[in-house]
Amino acid sequence: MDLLQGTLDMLVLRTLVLAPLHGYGISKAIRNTSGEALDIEFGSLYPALKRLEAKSWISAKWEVSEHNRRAKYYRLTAAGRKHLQREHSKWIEFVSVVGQIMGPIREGGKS
Amino acid sequence: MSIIRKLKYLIPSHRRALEQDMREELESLTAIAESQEARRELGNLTRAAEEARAVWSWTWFEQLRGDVRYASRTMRHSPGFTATALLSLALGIGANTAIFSLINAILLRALPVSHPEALAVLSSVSRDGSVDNFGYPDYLVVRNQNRAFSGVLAASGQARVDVGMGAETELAQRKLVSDNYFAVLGVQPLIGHVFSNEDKGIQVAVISHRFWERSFAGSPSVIGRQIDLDGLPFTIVGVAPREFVGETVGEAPDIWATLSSMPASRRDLPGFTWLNLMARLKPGVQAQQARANLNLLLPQLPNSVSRGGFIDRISVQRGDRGSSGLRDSFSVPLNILMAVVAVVLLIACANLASLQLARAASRQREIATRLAIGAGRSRIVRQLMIESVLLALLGGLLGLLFAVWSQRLLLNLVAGIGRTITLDLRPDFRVLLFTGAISVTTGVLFGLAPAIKAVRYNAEALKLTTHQLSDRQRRWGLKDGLIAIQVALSLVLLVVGGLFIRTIRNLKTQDVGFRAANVLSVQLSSQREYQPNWASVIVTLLRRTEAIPGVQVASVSFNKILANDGSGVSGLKFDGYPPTRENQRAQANWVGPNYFETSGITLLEGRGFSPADTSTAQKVAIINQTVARHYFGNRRAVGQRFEFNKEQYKIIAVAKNAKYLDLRESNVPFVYFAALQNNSEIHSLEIRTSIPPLTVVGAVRKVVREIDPHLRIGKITTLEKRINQKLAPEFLVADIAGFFSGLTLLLVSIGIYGTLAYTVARRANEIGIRMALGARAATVLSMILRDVLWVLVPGLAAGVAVALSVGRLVASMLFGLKPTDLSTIALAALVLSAATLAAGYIPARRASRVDPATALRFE
Repeated sequence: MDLLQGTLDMLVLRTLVLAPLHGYGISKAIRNTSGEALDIEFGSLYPALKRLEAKSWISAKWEVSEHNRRAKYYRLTAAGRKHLQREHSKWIEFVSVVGQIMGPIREGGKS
Repeated sequence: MSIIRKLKYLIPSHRRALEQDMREELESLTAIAESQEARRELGNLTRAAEEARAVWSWTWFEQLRGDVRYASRTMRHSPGFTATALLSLALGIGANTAIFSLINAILLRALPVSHPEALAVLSSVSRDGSVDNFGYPDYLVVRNQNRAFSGVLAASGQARVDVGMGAETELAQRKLVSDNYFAVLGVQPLIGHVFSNEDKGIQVAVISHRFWERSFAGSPSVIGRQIDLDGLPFTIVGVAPREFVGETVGEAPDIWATLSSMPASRRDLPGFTWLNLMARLKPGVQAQQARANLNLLLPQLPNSVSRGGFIDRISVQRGDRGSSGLRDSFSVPLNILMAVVAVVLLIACANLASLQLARAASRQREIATRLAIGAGRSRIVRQLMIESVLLALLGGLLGLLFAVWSQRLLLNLVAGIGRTITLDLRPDFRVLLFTGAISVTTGVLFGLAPAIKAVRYNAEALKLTTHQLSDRQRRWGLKDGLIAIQVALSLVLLVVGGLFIRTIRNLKTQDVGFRAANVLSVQLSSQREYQPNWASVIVTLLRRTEAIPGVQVASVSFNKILANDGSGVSGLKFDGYPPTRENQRAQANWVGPNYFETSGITLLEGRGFSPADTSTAQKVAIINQTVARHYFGNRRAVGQRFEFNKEQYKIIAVAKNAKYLDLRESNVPFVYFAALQNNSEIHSLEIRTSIPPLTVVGAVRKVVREIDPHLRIGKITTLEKRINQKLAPEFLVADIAGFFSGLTLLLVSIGIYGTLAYTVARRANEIGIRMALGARAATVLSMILRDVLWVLVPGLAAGVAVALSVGRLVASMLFGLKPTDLSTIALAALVLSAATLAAGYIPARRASRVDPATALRFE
């Protein structure tokens, strides 16, 4: 499934609401939460992390993982949380508007 | 935030730390992923790192650098095209820059004074709308009684004077100004002080920065130094700042002295209108209010209509750019020229675009390959645009050099012959901005069409042969349109050039009323204190001059013909005519014996002035046809009388009308008085020679020097030269429009030749088949030439339409013909058709000689 443009940032922020994660962990979390429907290439995810970090929506820190490995963990900042809330309500509105237009296609209608 | 991050990235240590951190992070993630047996999932880590780097780094800049490098390689690869393009761009952009710097200097630039926007230029307007200066008494009234200005300054024109500095003497331009001149303008001296009340008792002068450096080596000790101006002592009190060269655009005085240094007897003459007035508006006062206020003062002006003068009202105009006669005489020609050079640049654009299109066809393969291996279309358009913009910028740079180089030439064209105009034409910020902007616009204009066309190609193009590629062109495509545009614009230029060449011819061949050939005009000047018995000086001068070998006849006059110095007289009284303004005024000149023989002005009846017309004899005058017709109609004028200055004058002759001040004037009323009889000062010696007039200059100088060392010789020129000088604005447009119409004719021919040669080469196959099937050479020739007509005819039609509609822009400068002059347009069309058909003939002829066997074997 392809992602709508700009959605990736929102997904990453949403994933980090629960707990800080490292890069690979984020990609795995998104895949698992979506029930394997969304498989985000790491090649796209990683630049997105750097972008979000540059905007100070997330911050990074080296920590030791559950398997006793060093990894860089990303966590949501206060600014990031605020941004996510804004994006979230925009997203809800977007979905409902598109949903209204894209109601079920009647039989015999042109697709 | 983001910009700080990007700037920090430029610091090497910071960048190394970031890179190190990223590498460690990616390594750790790889380790984690591998431990979970998911190496594959991480994919291309190099690309991930590269794109992550883009967040901090200057990717667009790096790409730009790559594109520029690629573009310059492409340019080097085709030196012929690059050279042609650079040359036409340099000429086109350079011409635009040069004309714009003139416009900037004459029409746009503000004076380097404080708050120039509050300055106003005052001028007196007579009832017929002509604009004039003020006399000193008028100035005093305006200065002392107005309520609108915080200060009013007066300034004379600049004049050449002898400057004595110890033993040395040199010539310098001096300007006489009111004592508040610098204060009103708000100009602070570089060193010393400007005119002030404390200078009472001594004559003081402020010198220009240029003069300071030239004659005093920029020494600060110049303050307090004594110099002699025309034999009178002055003390230098200040040096003006470098950028300040006076209130009048085109002048650059070396020395400013106050009006009080002039003898009151001459300065205070009401009829002597020689002062430019500028004023600074009080805060909150509008020009409109100032005008109303000034016109309340009219009854008190000595030169106002109500007191028998000429001033009908006073106009108040913006003065932020100073005052300038240049602006009046050159704003129309400069605007015309700006349009002309803009058209030249457009033609160059169209020309380059068509050349680019021809090249684009051959680059089709390269572009298709790049598209096929994954280049984005926007990236390719950008690449192509960068190529053309880079070309245009380089062209613009060369153009700037060309403009700077051509400035002296241009300035000479503006000045005409024998006039000094000083303008600072060094490119300032505004000029550089202009050049940069037109360069980029030009690049975008000629690059856009080929670039858009280029990305319509797709990988399919790779399968086709070169010949098949070119043949997939529409019948009347972009390329033909571009050539038709060039033809049309080129026609417009040819028409403008033609109109001006014919205007000059009309102005020169019209009956000017005098015979200009072989007449030398010598300007005489004298120091103020020199008040000889002019009558005896004149008699001796003429006797000695006429004795010079080669001189036929000589005379003197107060005003020179066609030299901007005219004298209006008022107060002529003819019997039976009420003293209205029309009945009292005429232009006048005071002339010596043999004046009419010397100047070649025909006397229709009566006799010219003779040496016997002395101050003790009957006062006599000569009138021209216009005066005779006005007062006497069909009656005989000779023998009649009129009154002037309380004296009775007898009319002894009627002279044919002539051009006195301007070549475009007609039927000016004119009265000649006898210089001998009125002991008139003289400013000009006219000499008719039987040999080339300039050959007697040496002998004339010697004669004048021997008669009286106080009498000095100013400019020496011939009447023919002065006529050409009068035509400077017309010549300016004609020369430049002529030069560029020739140039664009060449460009258009090259464009047509290039496009056609290209088409012929591509169609060799088809032509070979036609000839193999029996087409004769003549058929092929006409087939190719038909292609030329195909673009020539619509181009000409559009050009004629444009020429007809823009003609009125130049109408005010034309003389003796209309802007829609059919013969000029027809001639231009003929020249253009001949040139384009000739350009098309060469490739067409080559096509007709195609050997069918060779052409068919080619594929």
